[in-house]
Amino acid sequence: MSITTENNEKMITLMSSDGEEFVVEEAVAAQSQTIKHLIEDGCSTEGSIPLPNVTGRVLSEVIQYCKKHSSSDDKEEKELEAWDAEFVKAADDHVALTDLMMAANFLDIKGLLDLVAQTLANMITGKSPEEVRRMWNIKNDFTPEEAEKVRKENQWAFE
Amino acid sequence: MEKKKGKKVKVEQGSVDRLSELPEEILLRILSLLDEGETLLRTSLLSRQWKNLWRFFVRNLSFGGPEESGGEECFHKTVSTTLEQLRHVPKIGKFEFTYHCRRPESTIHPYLMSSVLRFALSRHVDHLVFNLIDHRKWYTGLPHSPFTGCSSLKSLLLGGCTTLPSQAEVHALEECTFEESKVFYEGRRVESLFKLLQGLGNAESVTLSPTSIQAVLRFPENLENQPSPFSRLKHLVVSASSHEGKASGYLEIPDKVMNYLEVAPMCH
Repeated sequence: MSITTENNEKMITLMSSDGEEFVVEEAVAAQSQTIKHLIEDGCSTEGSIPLPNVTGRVLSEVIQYCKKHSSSDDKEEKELEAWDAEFVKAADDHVALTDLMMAANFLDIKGLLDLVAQTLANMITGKSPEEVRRMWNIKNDFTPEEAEKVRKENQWAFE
Repeated sequence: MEKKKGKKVKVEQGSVDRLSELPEEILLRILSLLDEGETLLRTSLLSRQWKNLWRFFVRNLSFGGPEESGGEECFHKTVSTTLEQLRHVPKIGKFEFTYHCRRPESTIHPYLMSSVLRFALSRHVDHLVFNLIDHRKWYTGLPHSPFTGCSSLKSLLLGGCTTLPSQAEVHALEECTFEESKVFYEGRRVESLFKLLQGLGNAESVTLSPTSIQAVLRFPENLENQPSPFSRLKHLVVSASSHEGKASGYLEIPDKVMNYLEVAPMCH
């Protein structure tokens, strides 16, 4: 399916894993290297591009990011940075952030991947293992002996 | 009933480990953004999956020991185990190794010295400190093989060692310091001193002990016959370990040496 808008921008349709369809300008979607390659391979000419790993909720956020970043090439970098900060803040729930990170990875959008990775790294910084575990629901599968061993092994680096 | 249902949902959400669901390449990307040090290291305590991931991001290493006399074996083991753990680290920025010889009969085991140097130099270390502190002023010869082809080395501090092996290839070296080194005392080693200086051609800053200046002087024919090895030297520092200060070191450097080292007196 190929639609053209009044300003002659080619539109393509993306379909999320839960069947939601998004019609976006090709330039916006091509921020994703994965989609760009699919377009180059002619996958966008018939019907929509299925994205089996990305839900509609996450995809709409990704598209929001791509729209901003494709339209603001020559805008102030500072403004874009502020926008990015607001964008990850809106997705501050870390579950949303990891979903976003998975999507950015699958879709191969470097800017978004870097942005979310940095946000997640900032969230870990300065937290105790217990706090990080609680935050990310990481299951502590060490036995007490193992945990002690790891602590001991790495003692040198704390000095 | 409602309450029970709510509880169940909560438990389900809680049991999903979101971060570890991420592919390892993504976890590694996040880890690469953490500041080196405690935060990075603490991730080893999260879970089995996380236990070893941080090791890819170690960039600086520092060893000092043994803490007390009799602790040689323990120190040796700690160093060996750590280096083994870090064997997949691709690149080391700064590597510091300080060894205290605390007992008359104890010297650093050649195997330890060799494995430490090999580890650092084969990981393209930029800055290497290798300091052997020995109150008896014994000096230990360095193995030469790790020093061949270490083109990344930008700064080097050697303490308590005899001279760098003459086969050393340290052409990128910008800063070189010999501390408390007997480097050039023995006549047969002076030859390697001159070879060593040749190898420091790119260095911008060289720190020599006063004894090395004396040693150079003992071979005036070498000073007159050999061209200066330095083309980029900006600072020559004479370490003041046995003098009051730099000024006295300056006064004692004869012109011949200055000429050889191609250092204009006013730069000094």
